[in-house]
Amino acid sequence: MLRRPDGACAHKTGWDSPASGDASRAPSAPAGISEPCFYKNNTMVIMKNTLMLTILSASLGMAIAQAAPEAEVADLSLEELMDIKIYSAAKKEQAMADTAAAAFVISQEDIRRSGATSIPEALRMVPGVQVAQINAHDWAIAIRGFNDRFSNKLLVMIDGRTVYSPLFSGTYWSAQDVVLEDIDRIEVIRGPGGTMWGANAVNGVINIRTKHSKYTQGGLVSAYGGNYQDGGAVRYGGELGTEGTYRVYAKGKHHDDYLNALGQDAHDQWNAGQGGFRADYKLTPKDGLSFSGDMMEMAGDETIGLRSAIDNNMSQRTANALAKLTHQTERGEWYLQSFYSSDERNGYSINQLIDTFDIEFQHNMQAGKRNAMTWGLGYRLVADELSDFNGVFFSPAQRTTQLFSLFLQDQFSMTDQLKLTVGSKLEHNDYSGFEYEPNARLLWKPNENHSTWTSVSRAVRTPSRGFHDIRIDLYRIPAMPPFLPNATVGSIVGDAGFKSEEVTAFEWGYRGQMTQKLSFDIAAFYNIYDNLLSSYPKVVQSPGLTQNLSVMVNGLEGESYGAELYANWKVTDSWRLQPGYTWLTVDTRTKNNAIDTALGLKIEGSNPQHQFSIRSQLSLPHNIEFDTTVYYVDNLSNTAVTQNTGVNVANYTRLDLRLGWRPLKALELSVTGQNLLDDRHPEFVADDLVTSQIPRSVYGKAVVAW
Amino acid sequence: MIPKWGMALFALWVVIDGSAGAEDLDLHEDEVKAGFVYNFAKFVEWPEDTAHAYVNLCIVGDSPFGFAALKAIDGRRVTQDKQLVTKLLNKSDDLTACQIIFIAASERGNMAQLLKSAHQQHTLTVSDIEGFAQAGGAIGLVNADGKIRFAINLLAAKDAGVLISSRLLALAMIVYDEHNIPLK
Repeated sequence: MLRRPDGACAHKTGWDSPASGDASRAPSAPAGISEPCFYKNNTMVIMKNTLMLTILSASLGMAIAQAAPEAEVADLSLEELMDIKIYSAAKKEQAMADTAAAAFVISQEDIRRSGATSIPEALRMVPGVQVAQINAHDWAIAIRGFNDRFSNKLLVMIDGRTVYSPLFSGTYWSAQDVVLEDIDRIEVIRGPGGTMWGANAVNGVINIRTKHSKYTQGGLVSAYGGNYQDGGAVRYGGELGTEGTYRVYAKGKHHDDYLNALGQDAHDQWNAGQGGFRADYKLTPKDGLSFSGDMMEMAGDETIGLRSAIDNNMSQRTANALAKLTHQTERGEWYLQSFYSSDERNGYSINQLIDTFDIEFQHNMQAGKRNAMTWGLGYRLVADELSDFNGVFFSPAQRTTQLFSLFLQDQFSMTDQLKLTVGSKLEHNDYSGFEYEPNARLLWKPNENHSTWTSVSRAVRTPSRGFHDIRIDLYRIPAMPPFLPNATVGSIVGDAGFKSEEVTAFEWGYRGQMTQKLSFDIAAFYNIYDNLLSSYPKVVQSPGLTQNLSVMVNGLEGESYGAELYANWKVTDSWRLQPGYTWLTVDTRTKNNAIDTALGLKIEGSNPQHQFSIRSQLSLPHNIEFDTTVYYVDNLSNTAVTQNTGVNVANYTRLDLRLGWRPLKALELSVTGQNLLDDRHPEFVADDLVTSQIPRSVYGKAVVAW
Repeated sequence: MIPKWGMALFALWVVIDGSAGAEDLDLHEDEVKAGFVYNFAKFVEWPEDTAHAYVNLCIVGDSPFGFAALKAIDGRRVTQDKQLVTKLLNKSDDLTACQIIFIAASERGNMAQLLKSAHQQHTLTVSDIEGFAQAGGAIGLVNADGKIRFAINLLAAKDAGVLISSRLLALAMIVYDEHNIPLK
């Protein structure tokens, strides 16, 4: 049965039609495909929010009653004030520097001076991260290899809310946005983070954290426009009574079509709009409550390249609401967080509607002098409803899955200089059952200026809905008796027996503050992978039909190794240089009767072997800033894909420049040029999309804040 | 399986949660500094003729204090009958109504001029500019390994005619005496 994407939903635009809201499309709705129209879902958002608020208010009452009133800053004595370690950007970086993991923090200042207009663009600066743009709205982003449009070994979060899609375990980057000026920092952890964060944190974690609303008081208007993109944002923050603050925002953007390899219109223009809020209350000096919510709608063009180039329109609408209660105990803190998100996407082969409900609890505490413990519990419910067409089939079309998780980790200070962290996560998911993700980390910090660490960890990528339940028909040859008595269908099929992909990672790192002005960070790793996705051939004969199947199987094993190195050099008070280098090699082999070597080749060729970058931030007199970034990215040897598409991703050097000027305290003007050395070049080849060429672009931006 | 684990962990938590440990308030640098300035106001006496119901804290230049920091101290009682009021001033504004001026780092270049006119107005001068107290300011905030300390210059206090309590002197990291010689 083939259904057209354009017939699937009666109306495709606007948030403004909740009139005929039909709440029957709850996760437990009876079988049969109802139309994935967002307004129904929208009603559900409101209903679920109300429920969530009620539950939280109830538990809140208890928290208020229990918490003893405690001093705030003006009530603290001088002695107490003198004892407070101050919380500043430097301290946050310091805290990250004390972890036994390869961590990198992108600060607000870094984002502003990078000239990035989106989160993916801001991630380019992180060593060990590969950011490759496929077209105007799709990116392939990975940490330590295995890159793809739906790079599935990466966990992405915004303010603690998981944003990767449970369908393919990948992230729709164009749907992930915030007001960039409101970002506090982006934390990037390279290497497995499974113990703390759970499934999917196989090769790394990206956590985007926005500012507390008390730090976004007042108004902000930003607008930018250039030869390929225009956009703007409005944000206002105010007070809620005496103990609360809030902000509300709206932003929109438009992106023009790029060109394809033949110099033709790449048919990938897109528009997006979103709005949201965040509110933070201080219930007592020790209890905080935060609420946030966002709604996003985007629509654009894409060129599907499965068999031939097909112009398609796609759209996506998401909504989410999150509540978080934090409490500081005498020697630690805990939080209870819950979020609900809804994601509707209409694409070429699949229309998907995915609702996620998540609740988690985490508690950190100092246990005695030597132990710092962290433990947590989590529950997630994912309900999806998929309509498939153009040769893609999901069986069943609707599915509800649950994820339970529990983790415990202890940091044991063996001496003042030596810290051992041991912990594990235990998870249960509906696809592969119980999973455990342990790690052990050792940090040696002989003095304030030098530290070295090493770790062994295991993480898994649990089977996604896609690998479990999908069938993709690649070709169909009708029967032609007497020559061909049977019709023939060639398909890729998922397998209910597909297990988790696994990694065991060995890591080592060193951080050094050489002088007041120069610091270094080096990390090296050796990862052993097992049970990676591959396929084996299977022929199924039935009366009148021959099926040539490629069945997904855990048929690859392999290893990756590499190193990341970067330095931060304050040449003078007004000039900062940050060079970085990434080296990465991935090898794979087939096993378990899998003969599909193409997937292995694809993995091995999906990342550049070498990446260099150097960032320069120069502050000049009269509040002028001049920022330069140069990237060198090695070629991709992705033969399996390039044979099909004829597009080669050669090495490229990219130059970005930004000139900023702050004529008034409240006004910042800037001009940014990106990819200035080259008319255009491709950065990645995805299986299912025609690759666009990333062009030279220039834009101007103004930000007014008061 | 999970309920068992959960119960065991819960029990563990309850047991461990009863013991003592250090606390780490989640405060930004500017909030802690604001707390210091508010405390200074408690331990300083101004000449009789400038006694008012308000202690006006004037911040000169690009204020390093964010909304949260100012909100925490604005309107707070300093003594039984005095209240702290925060004001953001342009450098051209009149300093006469200020009991305390906080000189922001942006005013480093005008520091000598500001100190001179502030001291004439019997104003306590405070700043986090490096070497402030040594350079003739009354109280300088110092960042010592992530913790805030302060230095006092008695000559500056004498010039301004303000009395600094012995309690502040006891807690100060450095005190410059009336000849600008560091006492500790």
